[in-house]
Amino acid sequence: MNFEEAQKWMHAAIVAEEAPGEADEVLKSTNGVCAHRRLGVYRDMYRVRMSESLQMDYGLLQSVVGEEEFESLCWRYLKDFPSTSYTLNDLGRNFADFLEIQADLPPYVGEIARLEYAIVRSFDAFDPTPADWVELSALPLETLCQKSLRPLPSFVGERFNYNLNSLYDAYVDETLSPGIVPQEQVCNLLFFRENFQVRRLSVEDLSWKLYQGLRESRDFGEALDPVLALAKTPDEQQKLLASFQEWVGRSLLYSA
Amino acid sequence: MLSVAEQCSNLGFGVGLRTVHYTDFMESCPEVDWLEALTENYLGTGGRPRQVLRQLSMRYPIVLHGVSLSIGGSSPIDRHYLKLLKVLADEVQARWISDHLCWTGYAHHNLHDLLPMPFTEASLAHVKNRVDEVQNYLGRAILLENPSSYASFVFDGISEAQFLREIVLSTGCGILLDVNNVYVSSVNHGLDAKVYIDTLPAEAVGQFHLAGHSQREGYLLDSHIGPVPEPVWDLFRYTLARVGSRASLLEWDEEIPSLEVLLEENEKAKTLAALPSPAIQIHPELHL
Repeated sequence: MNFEEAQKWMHAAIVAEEAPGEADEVLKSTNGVCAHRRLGVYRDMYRVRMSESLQMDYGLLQSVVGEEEFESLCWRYLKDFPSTSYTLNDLGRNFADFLEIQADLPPYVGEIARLEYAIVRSFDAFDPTPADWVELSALPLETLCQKSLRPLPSFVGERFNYNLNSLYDAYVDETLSPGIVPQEQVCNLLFFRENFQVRRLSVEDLSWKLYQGLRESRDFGEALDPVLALAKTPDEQQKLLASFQEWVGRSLLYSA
Repeated sequence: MLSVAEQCSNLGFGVGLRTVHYTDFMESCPEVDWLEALTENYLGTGGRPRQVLRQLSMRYPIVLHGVSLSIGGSSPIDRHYLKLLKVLADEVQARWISDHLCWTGYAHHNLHDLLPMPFTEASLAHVKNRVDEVQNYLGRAILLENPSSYASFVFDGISEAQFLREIVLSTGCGILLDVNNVYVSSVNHGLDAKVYIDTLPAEAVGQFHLAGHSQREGYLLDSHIGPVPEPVWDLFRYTLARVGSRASLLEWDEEIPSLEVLLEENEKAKTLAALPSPAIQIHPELHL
């Protein structure tokens, strides 16, 4: 066995569900500790490290499904999506997508993972310099509409089919009831970073559409016009513009 | 290329920068000679950690210590990782960059562990080439740390210390000598820790690590928990006499105490380093 074959063997032996029988053909048994036990040290550490890493980012999910089920979901996931990155921060990158296509899981499980990954994304994002609120507010509306304004990479939006906002509140407040099932109710959440903490904004449908429009449109006018047309009352129009002003005021947009 | 001697001045006694101490460092600027940052915690992130490190680099000398270079791995060196590392090192004016003599995975799958090298002539040549590649890219010599190990291969032909020595002599890289790791591995494999220290070229040692470990059934685990145990202090005394004083760093990663406790532990290392070194003899059976 050359050194590359040895590494291939040891890698497979660490991630395998069952420890291989031939450890003593590859590893030394010395100092009163057999090869199987020595391999076991690495196998155990791998499991602990991966679980702890996912637990750190998916605390709400673990609380909702329970520790045992969470552990089982982690291992199912890692079989399909082992880490390929230099950092464990990326370990959960595909967790939500993976959970959402598992037929044996209720749909809110994947949604909870998506919420928690949005927090990770917001926390870690590299942001360009935000658009200046004073400068923007001084512009005539026509000029403002021609500006290409985009949400910062740390200003992350997700739309859920369950009321995960109140569920997350309960988790943060440590008032989550055991066995809780989130209520089916559309919920639009925007995550943003303020003083290096990730915060949440729950927004109504029109504001959500404006946020999406800003992500996808050529300029502010293109994002605003179709949403403004949906606002049926002056009150709705006012709320929509208030959302935009809040985002600019919190420095969550940048000029692309 | 910047050599080990050009980079590794004796910075004194540093501590590993950990999230729980960010506020202490940012608000009260405690007296610490230098900080070691875990490279991967600051790569590819634009959040608080990177901002904190950037600000602290204006007040403290920073050294970057990585765990994912996989210098002994079979997959090609990750150029994207190197690129990010170089940018970060420039940004925080890293005094030097270190990683481990190990491999971390196979076929681009990262197990995020410091896995034991097979010590053969072929793997030695392989690692030498990769160290050259990394150093050429970074434009500076790197330091390689001896990891703690819990297993070794039946076909190993040379010792870890000899392996490390050969890499250093061939590539000009330096050594981050982790005294706790030497102790842990020597107990786990029934080897003589002093022979390990004696085998290394002293002039290539650029930095020391000190840490605690845990007793497990039949072996020691490099857990970085608790104060530095007495046998590790003993080996540190021996190392100081053999190698001389170097930039030293205390690692404490499990049940991390207050910064005050961490700095008290660091004082012990300072005291030892200040004592006159006893004359020692290199192991009589060692032929280098």
